[in-house]
Amino acid sequence: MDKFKRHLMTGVSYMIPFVVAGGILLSLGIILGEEGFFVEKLVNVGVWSLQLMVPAIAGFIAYSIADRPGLTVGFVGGVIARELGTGYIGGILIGFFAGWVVNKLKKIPIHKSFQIIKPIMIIPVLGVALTAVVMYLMAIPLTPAMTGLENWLVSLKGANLAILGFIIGAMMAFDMGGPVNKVALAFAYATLAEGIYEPMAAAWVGIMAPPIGLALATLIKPNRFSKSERANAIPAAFMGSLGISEGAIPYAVTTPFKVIPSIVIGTGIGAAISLVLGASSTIPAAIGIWALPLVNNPIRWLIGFIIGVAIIAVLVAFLRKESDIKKDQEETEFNLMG
Amino acid sequence: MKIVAVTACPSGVAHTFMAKKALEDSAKELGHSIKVETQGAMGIENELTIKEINEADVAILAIDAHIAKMNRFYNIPKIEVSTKKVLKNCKKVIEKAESKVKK
Repeated sequence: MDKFKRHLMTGVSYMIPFVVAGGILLSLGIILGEEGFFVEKLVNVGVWSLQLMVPAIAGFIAYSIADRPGLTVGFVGGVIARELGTGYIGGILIGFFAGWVVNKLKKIPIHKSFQIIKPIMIIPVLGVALTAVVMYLMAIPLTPAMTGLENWLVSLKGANLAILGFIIGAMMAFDMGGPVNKVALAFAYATLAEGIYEPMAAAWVGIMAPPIGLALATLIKPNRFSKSERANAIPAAFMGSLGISEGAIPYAVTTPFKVIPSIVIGTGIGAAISLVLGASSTIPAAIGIWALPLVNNPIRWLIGFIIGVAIIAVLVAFLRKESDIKKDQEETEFNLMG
Repeated sequence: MKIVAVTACPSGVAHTFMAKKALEDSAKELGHSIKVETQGAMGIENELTIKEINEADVAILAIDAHIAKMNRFYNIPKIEVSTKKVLKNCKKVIEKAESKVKK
């Protein structure tokens, strides 16, 4: 299971720069108006870069599993996944298959003097061919499922949109960068690849609201937090504004039953409000607050975000008691900024 | 004891460098010498040379993602942990590495 997670995380880590570059250039183009020679090129480049995200995640998952020979097979598998409309989910699945199949192909017994044709002929050709067959088979159930999901998301309005926002926000906040958070984020990336931008706006709230809300709570009631927790507030909020929510973890470690429900509720409500007001984002949430002007409807997003932060700060500040300080343990001692 | 270490996390901007700092601090406190290579968003930084690895007693790989040049560590005792574990209790990780050397 740990290995599985490592391969997936490797894929995600190599994919992120493609999405960041594409998302920002695309949204710049959209803001500038989508017309004129220069802007049109900007939009094109943004879209092309974004389109590489599915091949990139498939390629680098396979690279993580099978090292260098896995890369080609995974990349081609990812392109097929994209062209068949299975999106990000298809890319992840085929990346794992590509890595597995390359590892099997490496073991084909072959006479020593022909050894050299294995990496330059057998693995790429057979690997790509087998991966293509499997991808076509997988697309039979996967393509209609992805299309259905897409249509459903596009049709969401009003109350349903609020529920979607709440669920994504709450999941993002729940474990502050852990597996549940990554599932929600993966969903937002998946919809981004399909051209649906609302879930990513909710993920933005989910990444930034918990650390900033908690930092604010230490300012409201400083006497209810330990010295190291107060010292951690500024770095946590700063890192939070750069899209890293792990700064919230030390607070959740000392008093999980007070902090986690507060951030889940606050973030969920904040994200729901942002979406209902009409915010959406082509830019991955991992970039941070400085990219805010590039979000669609930044002011409306900000309203939801501020409400979320306020709810978290007030709930935590009033749920915490001075007696909670004693539980302060070694684990809270690491300071994010080193 | 001479330690070499590699840290790497998925985004390559936060945990990678927090884990480096934690390893360096704890190793110093426990009286070991350490060199930590980071494989973050900028690629390999503070790269370990083959000579340094061969001279080391143990390698600590604090990694959440696939790392490059893994084959450098074939010949030396090593432990593999997540960066999170290093941040939570770094001394324990180093002690675990120590026990690996004694065997």
